[in-house]
Amino acid sequence: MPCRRSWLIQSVLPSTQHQDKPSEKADVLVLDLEYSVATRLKSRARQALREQLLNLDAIQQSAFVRIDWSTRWADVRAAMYRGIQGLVLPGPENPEDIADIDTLMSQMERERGLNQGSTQIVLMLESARGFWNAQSLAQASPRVSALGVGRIDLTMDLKPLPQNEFRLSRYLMSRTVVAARMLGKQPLGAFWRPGTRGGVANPTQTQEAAREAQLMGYRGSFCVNPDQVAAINHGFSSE
Amino acid sequence: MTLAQDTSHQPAEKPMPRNIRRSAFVLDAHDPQLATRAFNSHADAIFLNLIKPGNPLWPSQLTTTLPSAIEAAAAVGAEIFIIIESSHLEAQLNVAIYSGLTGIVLQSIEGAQTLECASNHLTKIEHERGIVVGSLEIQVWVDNAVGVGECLSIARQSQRFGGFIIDDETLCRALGMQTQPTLSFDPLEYIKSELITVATSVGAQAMGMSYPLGLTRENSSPETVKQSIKRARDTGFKGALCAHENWISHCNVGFQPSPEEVDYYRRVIEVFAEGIRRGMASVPLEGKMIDVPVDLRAKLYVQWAQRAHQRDEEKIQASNKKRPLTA
Amino acid sequence: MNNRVSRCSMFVTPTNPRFIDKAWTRGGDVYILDIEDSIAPAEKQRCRELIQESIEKANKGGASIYVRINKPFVDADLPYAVWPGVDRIMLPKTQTAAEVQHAHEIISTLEKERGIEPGSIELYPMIESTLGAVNIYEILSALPRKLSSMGGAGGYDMAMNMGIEMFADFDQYAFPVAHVALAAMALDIEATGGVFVPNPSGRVDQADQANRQAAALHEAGIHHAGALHPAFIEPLVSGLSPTPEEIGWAERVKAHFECMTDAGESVDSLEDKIIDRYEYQSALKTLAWGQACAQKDAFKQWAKNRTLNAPTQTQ
Repeated sequence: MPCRRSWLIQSVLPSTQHQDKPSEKADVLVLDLEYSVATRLKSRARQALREQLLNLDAIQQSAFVRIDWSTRWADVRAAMYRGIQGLVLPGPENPEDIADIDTLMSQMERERGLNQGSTQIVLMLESARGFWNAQSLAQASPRVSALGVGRIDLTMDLKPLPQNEFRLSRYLMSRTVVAARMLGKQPLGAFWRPGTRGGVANPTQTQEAAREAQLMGYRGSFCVNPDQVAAINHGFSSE
Repeated sequence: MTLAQDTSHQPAEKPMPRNIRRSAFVLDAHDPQLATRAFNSHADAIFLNLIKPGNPLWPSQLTTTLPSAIEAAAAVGAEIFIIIESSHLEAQLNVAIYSGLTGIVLQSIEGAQTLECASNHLTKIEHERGIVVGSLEIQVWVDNAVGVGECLSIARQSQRFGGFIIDDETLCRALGMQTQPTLSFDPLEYIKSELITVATSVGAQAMGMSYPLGLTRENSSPETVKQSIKRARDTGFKGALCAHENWISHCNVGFQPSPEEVDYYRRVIEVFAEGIRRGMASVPLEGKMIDVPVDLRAKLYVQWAQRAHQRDEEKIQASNKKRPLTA
Repeated sequence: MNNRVSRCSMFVTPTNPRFIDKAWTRGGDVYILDIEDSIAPAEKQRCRELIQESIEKANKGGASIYVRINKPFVDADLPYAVWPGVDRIMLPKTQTAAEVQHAHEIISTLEKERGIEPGSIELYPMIESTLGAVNIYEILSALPRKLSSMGGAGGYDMAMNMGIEMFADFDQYAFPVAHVALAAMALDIEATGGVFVPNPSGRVDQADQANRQAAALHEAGIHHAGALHPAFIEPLVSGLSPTPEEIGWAERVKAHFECMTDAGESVDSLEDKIIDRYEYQSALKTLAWGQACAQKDAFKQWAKNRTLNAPTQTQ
């Protein structure tokens, strides 16, 4: 298994805002069809995806695609092209949904000449139901290679506790790492503290969140700013 | 006026904890110094490590030395458990079970089915060897992710289930956590709390130490060990697996209500009984309200302290009766 | 009126006129008429018989009324507890789904007999043991009646069950509290509680402790708390309402996000903060909660005035 510490999420569409290149190459580039793409631009983003995957394949950058749950069927179809390593599924809740996506992926692999079963699934847990079902979700498809803790403070509206952590965050991280280790999946997540969540954390805060997560059993994390890549790589490298 | 029913003598609940098992210590069954070590340890429970199948001495050494090892360890009044590897379950059970054992400690459990297999096999052996059927207890040493992830079904699998054993270092390593105590919090905090909750929910108990001592396993100062035990007890552990012989005596004192607590609980019981006689439902004591649950809890804790005291007496008597052979 | 606003629910003892007669003047959102642990065994029957008239007394200031019954006497208590005007039955020490189901069936029969809208009385399983905590998902998915839940933390029963001393200076209930909260959230059931605030003295009557608790709950986004002493009411009621600054921010976020959506943008910034659909959802929740609190406060004021101005005061 290649070393996959940093998972940099970037919009499929070239952004006018983040032009800065990461100082260090992300272990995985996650092309995003979800959060970073406005609804009206979704179909353009889907069209742009195939070419981007080919380019990344040429420079041997691992590429995953994060799909939008609400448009998952169209997104999966748009993403399953040569160059893709896997899909990031945000906010899964029911194992049956994962099995359905698995079926569609198999069909796409057949149609498009991709290796059968080679495209992975990374689950990004983002809801109470998803965390409750963490074990059964991870078991829902043999494609699942990683189990991640998503943007829980936002998606689950978890607010800060006096102990300088988000409510329930340590329980959710604990539950996820147990499920991941039990089932042989890579645990993904960073221990974001209040005020430093994901996209607004500076490199120092990011490295600390990664370091603490590593101590808690995690082996990689998502990030959204290029300047977080080195911090994540570093945080997950210190043994 | 009718007097309220007098319920002051007997708590309505089952004894709590189920077993007075404040300290456990691991010894090798084939250790020539076993008897002396067991005698010196004063642990409430001794977990005996067996040589593994594959070792040239397996099983001959076990059949010749194990009965006397069990007898020697039990002579100091300790409960004796044999550590059983799940991967060698039947082979080890076949050679390790003798009367005089309290039970086994299962390591590397693969799920509730391991406990079921162990339990069924124990039943068979109990029949064959004239041991009371169902009497041998199974504790689970939680040393992998499955042990945590399936802890509820494990605890509910068998009447024999007696508790979880947690040793931080092994479990942290199994979960890919750091084994240096560099975090400001215990990475196992929620897992320990879950194992305690689940064990308690089936009437069993959990043994473990608080962070960071549980992880460092240091031979720390008595003060540090005592504080760590207090914290472990405050989360619900009923004893600890001792990494050092020096921890044992502190565990034997620390994992039970302190004399000050017992004094306080006795006052609670008196004050409440007096209140009940006067027809009151709750009575103030030192700024706190004493009502039915507070009173019930006080009785359970006093009883707990009495049982712990009895356990100490038993151990002293057993030790006096039989000096170690090789002392 | 919004029954869901229970920033402070305060236990009262129906058998003690000193408490029950004055309760309505204290400004609580909810009064819990207790037949359980604050009532001596010999007083239980007298207490049951006082519940119906206590409802009238305790809600004179616009508070909602809950009744806490006894776990061993569910069948005996419920006929005295289910009345028009009762919003919720609290079922203490709940351990299994069957217990909830049993109470639900009795309440349903009584609702029918007493002309109460079927299913309108909420059931509130109180999780006060390890068994209740590990069974929480089954308990909360047991029946169609509206449920809310709390627990897994503290209390004499939980401490006794776990065999621990109370009032340590750290959170002793990490798993049961989080587990109960997660199960409730997974089932879309409102859960209360869940923030650890050290209280090593164990005292329940100190306003500074109330302020600390209210501040921590507010920060953590939790809207409900229980109280054992009237000194907690005011700090909790005001402390758990949104502040004018929070309402103002939420209004600006709402307006800004709606503009963004019209312009086809999904992420933008406002006053140096990222505005996205999560921030928008959070703003909507703040506004809804603010509105509910304002309605509750207005109702309480109206009810209080009505009571004060009533021509014939009941004693």
